[in-house]
Amino acid sequence: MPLIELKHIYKSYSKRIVLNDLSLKVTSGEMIGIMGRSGSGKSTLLNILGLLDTEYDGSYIYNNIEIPKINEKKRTEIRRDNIGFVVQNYALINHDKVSYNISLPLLCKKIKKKEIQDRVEKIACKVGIADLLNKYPYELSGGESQRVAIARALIRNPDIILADEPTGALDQVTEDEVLGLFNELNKEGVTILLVTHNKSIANQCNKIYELDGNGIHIVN
Amino acid sequence: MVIINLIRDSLKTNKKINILLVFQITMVFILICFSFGFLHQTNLKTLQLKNTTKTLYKINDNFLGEAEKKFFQQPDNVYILNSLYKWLSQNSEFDYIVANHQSVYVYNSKLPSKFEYGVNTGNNAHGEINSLQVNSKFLTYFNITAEEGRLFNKEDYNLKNSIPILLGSEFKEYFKLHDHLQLSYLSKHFDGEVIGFIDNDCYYNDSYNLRKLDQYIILPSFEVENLPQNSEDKSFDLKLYLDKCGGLLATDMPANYLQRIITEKCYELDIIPYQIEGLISFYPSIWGMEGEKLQKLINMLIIIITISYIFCISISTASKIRLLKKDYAVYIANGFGMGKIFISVVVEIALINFIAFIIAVFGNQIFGPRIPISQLSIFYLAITLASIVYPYKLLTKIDISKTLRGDS
Repeated sequence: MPLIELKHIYKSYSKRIVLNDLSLKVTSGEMIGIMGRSGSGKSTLLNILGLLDTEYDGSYIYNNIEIPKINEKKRTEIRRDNIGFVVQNYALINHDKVSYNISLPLLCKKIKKKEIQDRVEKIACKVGIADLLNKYPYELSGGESQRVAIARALIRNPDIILADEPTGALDQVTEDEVLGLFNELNKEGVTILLVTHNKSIANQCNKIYELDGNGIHIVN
Repeated sequence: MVIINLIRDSLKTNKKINILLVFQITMVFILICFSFGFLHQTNLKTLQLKNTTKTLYKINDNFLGEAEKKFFQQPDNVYILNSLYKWLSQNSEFDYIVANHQSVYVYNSKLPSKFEYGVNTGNNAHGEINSLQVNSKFLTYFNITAEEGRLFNKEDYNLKNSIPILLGSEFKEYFKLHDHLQLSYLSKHFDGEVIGFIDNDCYYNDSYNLRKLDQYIILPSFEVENLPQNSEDKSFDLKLYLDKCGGLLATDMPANYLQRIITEKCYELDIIPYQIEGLISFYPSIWGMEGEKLQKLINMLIIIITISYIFCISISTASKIRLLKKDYAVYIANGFGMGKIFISVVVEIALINFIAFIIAVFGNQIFGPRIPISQLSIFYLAITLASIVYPYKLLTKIDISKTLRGDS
């Protein structure tokens, strides 16, 4: 049974069709790369998958739940409990410490402060930023910031990580480190869906899809 | 915790503007307190007046300069004024209210200076004290009630050796029922017996404004059956009747009709016609301004400042939302609902307003006149609700995905 199943998704902005009859299945444990030119709808697809965008036609089944049929509250719960986001500009809250940024997804639920602290420290160790917890995001390098974003995405043990150009702002060395981290996580069973326009990055995925005006096509 | 963090971050943004907003909304609340207190007091007084459905007019003589001198040189004119008074008091087309304001001297009293009206006369005498000579219709129309003792009865309006007097509530500290006061009124000495103390917050309308009677001595307006024969007494009664004819008319009749019948009566009595003026206001005067105008001015200020405040806080909050929307998007992407973000915005606005509300409530309790907190709370809620409309609209328009990517 697929973790995600999109059927005949249509999405347009004004009169411009961005996603046209898109169907996609993502099985648990996969690492999928999605490629496409600028404006091909990669990020739009990611927003639909991440339940941030709900204005589209078609069917989206997430873990047996028909997403268009549930309310905002339920969508928020699914997003919080099952989906981790990693974006190109890291999306960190600059005036709060790294530890707070990582703990964000845990703060929605009544979890004891001590437990939050333990989990933050554990995940920070895992992604190699244990010494950065008391720093502010503006004190970090790009690679460190992206690791913080990955730690935040992982802290609730999500089913899937949606990564939108996660290495777009990083140098080659840091890019390799971050991709290595994604590969490690995938080996541990985390499903990863990675949007990129860089073929070499996409090549590190199990499956590569390409988006164009005619829909989505598997590349390898 | 997250909501507190959101509020803290938002308050840190545009700190100076936040302080200005608190100052502005405090001004709104202070003005509201002032206006409410003013209106509340006025309404209270107006409600106390039983016949407020009837229009109140003041009747004035036109004896000026030489005409006045000439009129008072003839003690027999007391008969003319007596006739006019009888016509006024017995006319069925209006209620004739006698409310002659005079100052009286109270001898040998221990009254403090707050009761003084005019200049202290020195030896054994206290200064002038406000007094009113009234008829029974005055007590009825202005709904005067006795806190202790009784009001005037029919007998009290007949001149006797000892005059029954009513005292304003503030006299209670210095006199008790049945005390005798030595009074001097229109250059005549009287013995006054305290028959009652009127309730606190009794008012009457003197031409333009409501006057509190707490420091007044109320005397009965005597009904004189037989007019005096000697010229000294006639002169006294002439002054007395001149005052008695300068009372108030409570009526449903139109003003022009009233003026016409009064003029006709004056012509009939061969005196310069009296004139009436409408007294529609029941506002106390403050700072030398007529109460009603002041009330309107305050209300206008409140409306202007409130609208400008709502505009300012809406714009300020909107600018904060624009600055913080990336953070909001991060929170939402990490599992927070838009509801929590909205709550944080509402709480922040409510908090700014609450600071002003608390200042206003404390100020009002200390400086008065005290107004119910519930009424202020309604304003607080209304202003808060009005202030969140625009920020709410803005929040709902945030495109989370675009903001997260930094496209917005």
